[in-house]
Amino acid sequence: MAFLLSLLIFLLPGYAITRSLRIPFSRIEESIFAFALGVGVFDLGTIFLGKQDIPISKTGILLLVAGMTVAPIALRWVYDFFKNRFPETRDLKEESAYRFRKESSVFASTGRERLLFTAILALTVLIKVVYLSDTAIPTATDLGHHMYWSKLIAETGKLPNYAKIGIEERDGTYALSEPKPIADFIIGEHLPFAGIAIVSGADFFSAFPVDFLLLVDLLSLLTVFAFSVRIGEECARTMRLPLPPFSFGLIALFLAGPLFTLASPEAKFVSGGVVGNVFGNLFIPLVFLALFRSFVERNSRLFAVGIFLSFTLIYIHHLSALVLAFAMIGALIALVVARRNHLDSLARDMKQLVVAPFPIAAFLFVGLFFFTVAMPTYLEVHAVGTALGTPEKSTRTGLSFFQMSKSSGQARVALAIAALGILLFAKSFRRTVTAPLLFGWGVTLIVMTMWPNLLFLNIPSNRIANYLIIPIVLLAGFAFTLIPGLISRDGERPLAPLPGKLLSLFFLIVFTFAAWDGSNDNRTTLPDKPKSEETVQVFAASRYLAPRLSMDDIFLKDHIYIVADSWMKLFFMRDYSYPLSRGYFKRYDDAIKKREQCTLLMISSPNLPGGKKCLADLGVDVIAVNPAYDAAQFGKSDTFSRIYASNTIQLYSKFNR
Amino acid sequence: MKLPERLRKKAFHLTRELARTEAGLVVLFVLLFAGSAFFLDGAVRRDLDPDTGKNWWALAFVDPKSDDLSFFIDNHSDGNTFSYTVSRNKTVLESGTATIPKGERKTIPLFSGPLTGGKTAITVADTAGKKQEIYRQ
Repeated sequence: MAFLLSLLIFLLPGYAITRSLRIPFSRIEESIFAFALGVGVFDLGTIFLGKQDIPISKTGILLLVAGMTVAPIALRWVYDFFKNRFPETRDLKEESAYRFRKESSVFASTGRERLLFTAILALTVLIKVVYLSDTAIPTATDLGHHMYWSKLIAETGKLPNYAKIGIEERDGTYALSEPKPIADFIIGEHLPFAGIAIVSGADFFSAFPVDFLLLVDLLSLLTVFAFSVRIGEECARTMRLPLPPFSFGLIALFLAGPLFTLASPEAKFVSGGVVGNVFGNLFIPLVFLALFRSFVERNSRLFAVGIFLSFTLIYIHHLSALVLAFAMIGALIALVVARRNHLDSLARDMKQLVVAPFPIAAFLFVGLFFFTVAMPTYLEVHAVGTALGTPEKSTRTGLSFFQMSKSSGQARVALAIAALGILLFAKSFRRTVTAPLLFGWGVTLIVMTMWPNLLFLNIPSNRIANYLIIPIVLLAGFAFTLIPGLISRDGERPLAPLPGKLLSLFFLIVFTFAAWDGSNDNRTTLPDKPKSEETVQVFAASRYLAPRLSMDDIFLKDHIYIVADSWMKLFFMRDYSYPLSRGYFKRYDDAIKKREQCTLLMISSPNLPGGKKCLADLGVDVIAVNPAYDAAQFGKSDTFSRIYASNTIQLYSKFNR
Repeated sequence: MKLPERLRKKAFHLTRELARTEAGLVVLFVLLFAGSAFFLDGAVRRDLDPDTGKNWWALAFVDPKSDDLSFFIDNHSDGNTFSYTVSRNKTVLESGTATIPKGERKTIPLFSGPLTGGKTAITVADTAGKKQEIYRQ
C-alpha cells in the first residue's frame, strides 16, 4: 500500500502540469503524460536538490513534490488573471480545443469496444504477472546493479558519483585502483526508485522495483494504444475507415499486449531490471505522440511537452536518447520529403510550433538546466564517442532480416512491411503527419538494427532491436486496420476490390497467424525455475559477513555460479565493485579489450603462483563461492579457512593469517 | 458494515456510469496494476522468507577473526536435530547434539585456544545425513 501511495510523488506534479497547460488530453493520455511528466519533474528536481547540497530526504522530496504541484497551478492562476485583464491576448482556438475535449472525444467507445479493451488488457497483465511471480524475486544481475545506486541515494541523500574501483598492475604488482568514472549508469534511472524507497520506506529486497518497472511497461502499452487511436483519428480525416479510431487502438493493443508479452523488451526486461530500456520504451512513443499531435493540431503546448520529455530522457538513458534522436531525424527527413512541394507551408507550420511562448520557455529551461545545473554524466565521460563509430565486434554489425523478425515477431514484421508499402505508395496519406512519422521512425530503426554501419553506430545490434518493437507494432496495427478499407469493395477507391467473405477469410488467416506467432513466443519463453532457496542462502551469508568485515577487508565473490550475486553489494554498500567479482570466463579472453586476470585466478586457481600473487598483492581476505563448483581448490589450500557453509554458498577466509 | 440503501444505489449508478466512460478504463488499469503489485509483493515475500517452502541450514563461526571456536547453526530445514563433532587433525575433541526448531539459530560455545598445528574442524550432520563442515587453519 505504501508503495502505491508513493507513486503520488510522480502523479501529483504530473497532473498539476497537464491540467495547468490545458492541453486537450483524453483521460488515458492524461494519465500517461502525467506519470511521465511527473517522473521528469521528479528527476530534474532531485538533481537540482543534489547539486545544491540539499539532502534528498523524505522532507526534501515531499517539499519538492508539493512545490512542483503548486507551482504550475499558481502559474496557471496568474496566466488566467492576466488573460482576463487583457482579453485580446486570449487564444480562443486553444481554449475551445480544450473545452471540446470535454464534450466529445475520439476515445469514446461502445460497450463491445470497452469489453475488448478490458479483455486484452486483463489478459496481458495476467500473462505478465504469472511470469513475474517466478522471476520477481531479487536475483537479476542488472537490477541488482541499478538498485545499488538507488539504495546509495536513499541512504546518503546525495547524488552518487558513478565510479568504481578496479584492479590494475603497477610495476609487476597488483593493486586496487582509485574509483574510476563509469558511463553505464545514468542518474534518472535510479532517482525514481530512490524516491519511492525514501518516501514509502520500501525495502529494496522486495517486489517494489519490479512492480515499478511493470507499471512503466504497462504504461508503454497504453501509449501504443493511445497513439494508434490518434493515428486513426488523423487517417479518418483523409479516408473512410472500416473501423473507428478506438478500434485502431484495440488492434495495436492486441499486437503489443498479450502477444510476445514475455519476450524482450517486455516482461523479460521488467524482471531482468533493464531499467533504461523499459523507460525508453515509454518515453520514446510518448515524445512522438506529443510531437505528432502538436503538428496535427498545431498545438505549441504539446510541442513544449515533447521537448521536456525528450530532455528528461537524456537524463534517464543514453541509448534510448540516442535512438530517439536518430528516429526524430528520420521522421523529420521523411516529413520534408513528403512535403517537398509545400516546403514553405511546412516551414510556416513548424515556425508556428517552435516560436511560441511555451516551446521557447521549454527550450530556455532545458538550456539553463543543462549548462548551469547538471549535464548527464555520460557526456562528461565522453561516452558518446564509444557509441558512434565503426562497429568493432561481430555483435554490433547488424542483425539479419531473419533475426530481426524473430526478435520482433514474424507476423508483426510482415504487417509492418505492408504498412511501409502503403505509406510509401498510397496517395491518401501523403498530406498526413502519420505517414512520414511512422515511415521515418520505422525505417530509421530498421536501418539501425540491420545496417548500423550506415549510421556509424557502434552499439550491440540486439539492443537496438529492442527499440524496434514500438514502431513495428504501430505499423502492424496500422496495416491490419487499414488494408480492409483500401481493398474492400466498399472502400472509396479500392485498390483491388475483393468480395467481403474472401477479405474476411484473408484477415482471419492473418489474425490467426499473428496470434499463434505471439502466443507461441510466450509459451516458449519459460521462466527460469525460481531460485528462492539459493537466493535466501546467499543473502543470509551476506548478512552474516557484512558486520564482521572492517573497512580494510577485501571480499571477492563469484558471479558465474552464485545466484543473485550482484545483490550482495547492497549488504555492504562500499563500492559498486565491492565485493570484487569473478566474471564469465569468456570475459577474460576478450581479444579487443585486455582484462585483468586476478579475479579469475584467485577463485579458479588460488593455489597456483598466479592466484597466490594476486591474493597477496590485493590482500583479499574473504572469498565466496558455490561449493558445487569451486570448493575443491579451496579445500586443498592450507591458507584458507572455511568460516561459513550452506548448500549453495561457502565463505573462505584468510583472517589471522 | 452494510451501506444505507440510498448510498448503495448511488454507488451502483456511479460505477455503471464510470464503466461507460474513458475514466472507467483508467480506473480499470489502476485496479489491474494495484492487484498485480499486491500479488507480486506477496509472492516475493514468500520467496524471500528463509523458512516458507525451504529446506536448508547453515553453519558458521560466531567470530571468524578471533581464536574463539564457538559456532552457530541456522536451521531452516524440516529436521530439527543436529549432531556436531569438533576435531583437530582428525582427532575428535568434542561432540554433541543440538535440537533447533525451524527458523531459529543456536550458538554452541566452544573452548578457545591458540590454533597452532593443523586444522580444527567442526562437522555438523542433520537427521537426513546431510553434512556441513567449517574449519580453521
